[in-house]
Amino acid sequence: MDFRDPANFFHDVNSVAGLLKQFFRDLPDPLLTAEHYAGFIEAASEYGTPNVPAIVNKVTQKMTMTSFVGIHCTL
Amino acid sequence: MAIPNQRQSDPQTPFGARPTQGPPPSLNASQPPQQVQQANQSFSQHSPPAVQHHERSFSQGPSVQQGPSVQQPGAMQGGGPSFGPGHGASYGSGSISVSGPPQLSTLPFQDTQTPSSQQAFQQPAQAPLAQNSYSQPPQTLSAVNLPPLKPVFGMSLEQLFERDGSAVPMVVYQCIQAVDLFGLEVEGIYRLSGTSSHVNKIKAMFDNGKSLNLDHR
Repeated sequence: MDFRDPANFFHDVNSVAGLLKQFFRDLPDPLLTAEHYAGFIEAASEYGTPNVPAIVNKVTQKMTMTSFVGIHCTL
Repeated sequence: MAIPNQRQSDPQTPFGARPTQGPPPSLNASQPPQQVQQANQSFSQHSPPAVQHHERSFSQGPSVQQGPSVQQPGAMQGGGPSFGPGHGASYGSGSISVSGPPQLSTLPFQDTQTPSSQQAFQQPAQAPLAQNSYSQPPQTLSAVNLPPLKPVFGMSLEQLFERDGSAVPMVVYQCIQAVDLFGLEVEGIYRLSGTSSHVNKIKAMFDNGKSLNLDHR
């Protein structure tokens, strides 16, 4: 099964995208982790200001490596 | 946002969470008299742990494993009736909530009977309940009915990393690759969720370890 061949996903790219969303939904802990939920909300509340990178950095430095890798691969 | 999404995934994960209640009445229900005695013996020995919960899940193992061994002498005596109780009971438990035609719901059980009995040795408490939980919609793919061999969905990122040794799960890699190659021109690629049958098929492929062949990319 190789998704470089569209026949492997029935030529239905929307299903693949939906499956990716379902994988993230099914994670026991959210991708940005429930633990740092408030931190990201704080960063989002500063949207449009130059404070955002600093806040995100502060939050991500506290995160475990697994989730951090997941974020960087996704964003 | 996260809390209702987690609730959506809940009914998929706990296949064998509840105690088994299907097989014991099936043994008493419609077997020949000689086997009813055998069934009653084994049933009376093992029925109390079957009522209890997770703590005695290991003690449920022998009781369920003796289920097929009790049915096997029935298959020696008469092939037809021995398969009758299993299907009748499993159908009967499903027919409480399903009012569809009987033939449509009995046929999938005949297909899944042998693999489910094989898995009863590996996961005794989960296999009969998985039958009951899937008895309402008659599935076409047998792979969808089976418990996942190598589950990906519902696992944490830590568990996937420890098992597969890959920082990015194969599902994520493949899906992003497909969207990258073929989905960027599609309007609403992430807004439209696609066909549910296709999603379930692809999900079953990942959950059963079909993506292992991709390690030699």
